[in-house]
Amino acid sequence: MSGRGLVALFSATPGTYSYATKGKPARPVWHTEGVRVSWDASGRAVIEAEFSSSSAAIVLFGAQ
Amino acid sequence: MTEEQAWRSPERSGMQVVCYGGDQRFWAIEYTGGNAAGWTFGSPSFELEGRMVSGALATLAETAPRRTLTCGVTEYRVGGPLRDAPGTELHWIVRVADGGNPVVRFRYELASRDGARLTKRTGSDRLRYLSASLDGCDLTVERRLSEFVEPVHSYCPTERQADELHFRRGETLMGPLLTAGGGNRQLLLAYEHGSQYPDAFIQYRLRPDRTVELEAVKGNYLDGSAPTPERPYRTVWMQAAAIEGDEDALASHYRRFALRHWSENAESRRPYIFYNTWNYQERVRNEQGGKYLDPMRLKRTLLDIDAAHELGVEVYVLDTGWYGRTGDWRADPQRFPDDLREVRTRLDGYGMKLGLWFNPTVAALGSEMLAAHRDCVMSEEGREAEPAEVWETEASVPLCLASRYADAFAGELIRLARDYGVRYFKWDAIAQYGCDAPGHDHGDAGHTRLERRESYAFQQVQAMARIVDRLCAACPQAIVDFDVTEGGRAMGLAFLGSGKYFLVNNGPYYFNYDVPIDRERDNWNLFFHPGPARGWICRRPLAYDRWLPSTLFLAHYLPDAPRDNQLISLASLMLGHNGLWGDLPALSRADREFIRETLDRYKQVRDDIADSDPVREGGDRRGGGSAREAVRDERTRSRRAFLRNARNL
Repeated sequence: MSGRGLVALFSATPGTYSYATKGKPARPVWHTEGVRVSWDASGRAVIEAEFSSSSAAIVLFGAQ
Repeated sequence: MTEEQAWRSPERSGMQVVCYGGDQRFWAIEYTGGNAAGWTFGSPSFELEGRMVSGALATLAETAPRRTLTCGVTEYRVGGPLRDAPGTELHWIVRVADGGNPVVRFRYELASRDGARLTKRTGSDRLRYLSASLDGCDLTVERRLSEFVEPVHSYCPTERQADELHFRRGETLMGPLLTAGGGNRQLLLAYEHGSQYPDAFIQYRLRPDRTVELEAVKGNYLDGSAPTPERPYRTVWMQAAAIEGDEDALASHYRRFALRHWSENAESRRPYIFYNTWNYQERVRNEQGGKYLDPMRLKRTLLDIDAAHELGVEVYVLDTGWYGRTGDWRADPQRFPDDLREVRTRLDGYGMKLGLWFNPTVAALGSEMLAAHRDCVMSEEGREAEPAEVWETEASVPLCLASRYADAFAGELIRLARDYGVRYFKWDAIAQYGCDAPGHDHGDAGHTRLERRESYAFQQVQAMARIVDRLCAACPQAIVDFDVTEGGRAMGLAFLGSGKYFLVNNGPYYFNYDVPIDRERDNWNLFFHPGPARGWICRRPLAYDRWLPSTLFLAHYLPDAPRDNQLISLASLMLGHNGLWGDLPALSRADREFIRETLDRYKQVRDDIADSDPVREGGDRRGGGSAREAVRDERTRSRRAFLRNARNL
């Protein structure tokens, strides 16, 4: 399992969005501003992204 | 034919293909080790000299040395004389992945030694490519690739479930993919051709006994044509798979086949970052009151290349206007007086590739190409098309891709790959219909005008694929991209065996949404401006990604400030479309650095992303919140991706 890849989030509505990955992503992790990434006990990544406008957030697993 | 007389391929991961040569059991996918996913296919049948003749063989043997292809596949050729027409031979050419991918690619060749002809006694095609039973499958799905969806002004994948009533009524489905599942078994059939739904050239016919047949509709062969050993009748390529597992597993295998084992033209599958000049040309015309070709100048191009390099672009594409006249495809001496030498030097210095725009179906009135191919000019109802300007360049006339001109065009591309170092070839404006002339190898004076017209439309995409394959044989680094941003194209699986698609220019026009404009003066493009809306349109066809990797569908996003637009564009690009366009030199230093740094990080994992499978949940068509995960899982050799609406986040 390489766990390398991408989570892309899009929103047109301001707010905080959370998303837990189905896969078990690799580290290191790189992300755009306004994103927090934590890890649950099973190794899944939990992403919280804050949107203040219509925008996108990028989380890259296995990239630095 | 007995079990002992059957031909068997080597076993790969417990799977082998077997040729029995019979009516009901011509060939089969078989598994060992208790895997219950095997599938049997009935023989093709052809109308020969006015009667339907089964493709069942009198005897069979492997008839050519095995061929190892660069895409991890071995090709086998098995055949023999027809049982019911011994003067005619049928060969089954089958390609099986060496590493265990279950998708099998195959076609047939028919050749007669006694002059037997393919005929159309009823006035229409009578050719059955295969039959197969779907018994035991409780879910049959037609998967279309070529519906042109006007709200996004793009081809998009659509699907339709076939229920018991469809079988009872003997309904037909265009496909080109058909999947069926039941219990823990999944089946897939596909054929490699292309046309806009519902204009079918080939179709599936469901039968009340739950069999499905794949049959010709129109244009698949010419009435009275005599296939010979020197010039056999070659069917389209077809694909089949049978696996144990669920539908997601089948889609995963098919996606991997498309990426790794379908085409030897491997460069077309790589997730390079592309830039194309067209958007800036449109800005000059629509926002600055200039002409489309004004930016086609050496000085501007060098500035553009510098900016593209700073952003991390790898393939720099000069869209229309780089050439002096169509047909001869040489750099315009006024716009690029040094014959693109400095452009090449600059790109080489940056390690970037050069791409150029072509319309493969035209040649300028003054071109050497036209002078040498006057007999290849397209005509309809006996009238040649009127010459017309091609994007502010010399008037051109259309040339027929099913004629001998196709070889000359391939030669032009090979010359450009050699002399200009071109590695990406964008093919634009190729309408599927347009020629019913006799003498172009799609019918002669003995055929009806309609048959010649349909034969041209049928053969066109095959001719295109042959040109690409010839180019890639001469220049394996070449990528050819077929622009399908407008309707009426040969959209389907055929071209993907050789190249990729260019999808979505600017999406819908104002008049698609019934907004009145002055078409002569106004900008037609509705989704032409930075902001979220363009992403809503361009991301819609990402639905292809479940079965066909998004790297096979180039679409371009705008890098303009503000940062929110840049984030939307980069996030969208990374989902596989991989294109940028706009006014790159106008970007600020900070914007260029941001885009470069973000793309550098994407490049670290882009092959993993391309290799992975998406699973859509919900969608972002409304522009609401959505998330998409693309993390490669080696255990299943798949990516899992999720697209959720805001309520699920």
